[in-house]
Amino acid sequence: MNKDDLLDPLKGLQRAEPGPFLFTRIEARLRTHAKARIAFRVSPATVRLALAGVLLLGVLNALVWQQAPEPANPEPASTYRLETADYQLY
Amino acid sequence: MAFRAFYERFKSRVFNVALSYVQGRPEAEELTQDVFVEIYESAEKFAGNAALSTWVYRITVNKCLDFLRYQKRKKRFSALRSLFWGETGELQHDPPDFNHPGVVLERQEAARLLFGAIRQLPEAQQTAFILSYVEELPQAEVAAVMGLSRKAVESLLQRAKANLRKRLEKTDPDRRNQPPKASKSPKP
Repeated sequence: MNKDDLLDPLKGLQRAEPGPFLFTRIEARLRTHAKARIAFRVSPATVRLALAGVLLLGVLNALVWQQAPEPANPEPASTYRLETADYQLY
Repeated sequence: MAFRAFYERFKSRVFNVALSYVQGRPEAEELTQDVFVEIYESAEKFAGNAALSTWVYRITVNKCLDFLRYQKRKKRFSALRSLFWGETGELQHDPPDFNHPGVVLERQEAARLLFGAIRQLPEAQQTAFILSYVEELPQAEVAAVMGLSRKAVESLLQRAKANLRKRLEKTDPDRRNQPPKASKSPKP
């Protein structure tokens, strides 16, 4: 094959045009993307507030847990065993 | 409104580059959409160091290459599936013969073979060839789009042409005996 034949098929090549509704499709996609971005957009202030809330809940939880009184009369462990023993078949 | 004007200015270039790579109208339109959505969403990232068209071409080329890589992965996966489960899914991923809508009627068969061979070139050679000979960009702009020197682009073009010649001779051995014709060189 000759060196110059290679590009022959491209001689007089006309530009192809995309379909007439392509821009409408692009606009629709941009609208969908924008909606998705708005739905997931969270401001830094909101993030800080949420973190502070979680931290406060953790501290309160720890305080309540520490101050909770011990049960006055803890049930003896053996009682349960005795009761269940009544239902044993063998 | 400004975006519409921008679209009108670049739609043909983006679509034609995509068409040369993916060789199918629906896929090229899909890629054109992807390119313009990315341009719209990353417009503030355009630093203005390069020409606007260079930036647009670069996004287009990257999108096209990503698409082709995805197609190759899909094809490989289909081949694996057919190997293990006996499915013949790989055939549906092979692109049909491509007839470029802008090719002159008497050159359609030769153009079909040429585009088939372009598709088999390595990525860098494919990009250099499409931008230089199909899109007819000046070599300096091809170098800017690809982030290479002009010498590197020149070398890629030489290798691309040699590879294409080899592939086309395999497809159609009669081409070896054709008489010489006037040459077409890329813009300096």
